[in-house]
Amino acid sequence: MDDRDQSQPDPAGPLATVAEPVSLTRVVDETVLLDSDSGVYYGLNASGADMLDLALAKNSLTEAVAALGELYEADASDLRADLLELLARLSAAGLIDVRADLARDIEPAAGRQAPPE
Amino acid sequence: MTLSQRQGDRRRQSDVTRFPQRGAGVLRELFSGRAPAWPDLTLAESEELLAALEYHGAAPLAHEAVCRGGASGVPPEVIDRLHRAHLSTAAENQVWLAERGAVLDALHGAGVTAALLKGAALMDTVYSSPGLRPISDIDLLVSPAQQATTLAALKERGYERAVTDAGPFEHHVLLHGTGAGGMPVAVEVHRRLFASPPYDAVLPTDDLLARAERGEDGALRLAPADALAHLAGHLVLQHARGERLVWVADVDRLVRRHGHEQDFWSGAIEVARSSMLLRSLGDALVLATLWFATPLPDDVAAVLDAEPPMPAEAAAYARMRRRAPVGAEGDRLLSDVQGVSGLAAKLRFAALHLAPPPRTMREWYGLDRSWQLPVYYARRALRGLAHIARRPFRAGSSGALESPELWMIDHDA
Repeated sequence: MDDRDQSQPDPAGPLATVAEPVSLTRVVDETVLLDSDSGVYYGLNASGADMLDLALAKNSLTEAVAALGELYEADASDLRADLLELLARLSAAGLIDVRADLARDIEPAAGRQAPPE
Repeated sequence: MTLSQRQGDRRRQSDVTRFPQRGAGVLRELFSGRAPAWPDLTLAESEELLAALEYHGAAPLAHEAVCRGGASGVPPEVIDRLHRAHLSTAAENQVWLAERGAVLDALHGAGVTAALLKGAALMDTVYSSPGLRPISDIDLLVSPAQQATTLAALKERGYERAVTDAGPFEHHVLLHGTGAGGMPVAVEVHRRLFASPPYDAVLPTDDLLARAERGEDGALRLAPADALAHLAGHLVLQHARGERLVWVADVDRLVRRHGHEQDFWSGAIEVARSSMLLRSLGDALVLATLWFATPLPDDVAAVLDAEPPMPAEAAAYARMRRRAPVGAEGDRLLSDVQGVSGLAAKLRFAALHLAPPPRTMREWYGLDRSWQLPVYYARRALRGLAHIARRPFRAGSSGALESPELWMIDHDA
């Protein structure tokens, strides 16, 4: 595991960005992601939507996990694992581009589950 | 789920067009911000209610209201169905929004002034989320002088006319295209707001475009007072006895968005009065208050209650409310002819519809041999006469006028 100080804002930008053919929209407290190339759309439930929002907004994993901790009562390590797993699944589905330095962190999670649908 | 699967689901939807009475009651409370207890419905009743909600384009609204804690005891399978409708509408509307932007860019590039109408105008301005308002096409109002340029620009973008020659009397032209992800999309280019006389002559297009307002997104939309009059006429007259709840929701959201603005109500009443839509405006607002508890200022209600429509409007209203549904074209033509002023104009109007130009006939009926033309003219006339002959036996063609709110509910269910 990378032991860099991830609390420092990274000038490289947010943890993830929405992939080029994908658009997002809110449905109550959920998020719908549409891949406009394939016409496939995915729904993220409320916690998944919050995680994605934070991944798109925060520049460090630590910041994102801390913000998640304010929303959900759970161990930071569990939140971190859940966040990485979600990013892995969305990345595997081509819905988001994960920042290059995080790619190694999400690789183990990438093969575990099919993308959400 | 893919957009094309969703389109297929929509085509398979049942034709439940009216709300069962018990379900309608709970929906009204739900949409009005009260917190009703969900009724104990049988599976068939529940299915009928959901099918009606989908037909009326109101499933996303119901889902949002339920999520906001608007009803207790809603069965999980009902929530799941509403949820899926909401998600898919939200996904589809992302395609529609992108397509709308591309179409407006193409028209702007061609020098066309086009105003968005109905759902395409309202989905992201008066609704809190675009996913709440399903749309089936992008309605545009374009000056008759710019129709040809508009159609050429849309053709350039890959759109094809559903019917190449829509005839000289059509108030809009329908074009089909393909949006992102292969989703079928459609554009309706309107040369005027209403099809039937005398409403084809009210609210001239160039005046509406001159008053239209440009939004933050750069798109042109009807001025709010004009938009309300249009929504009212579209709901109460153009789709008489085929009203859909989503159009009532449009009225509600537009009023909630603009009702506090100075001159909105006086402007809307003035537009409605001058375009023979005063009673339609009153009906539309009654529907909106009934289903959505739309806030209506007392003085506006008083004006609409106190001011009876002029005789010409009353006659036009009655004729439109009794007009035959789409399909009984001869019957509809008879209604429309009655709305034309002057004998010569009536005859011209009837002749044009009964005997459209040969080019139009060939397109409509797929005629490729010269001998077919007279046969199909005769067939068209005979079918029209048959519709007219059946008119006395058609429900709603005579007798007392039923209020629009009665037509959306199945009182026998």
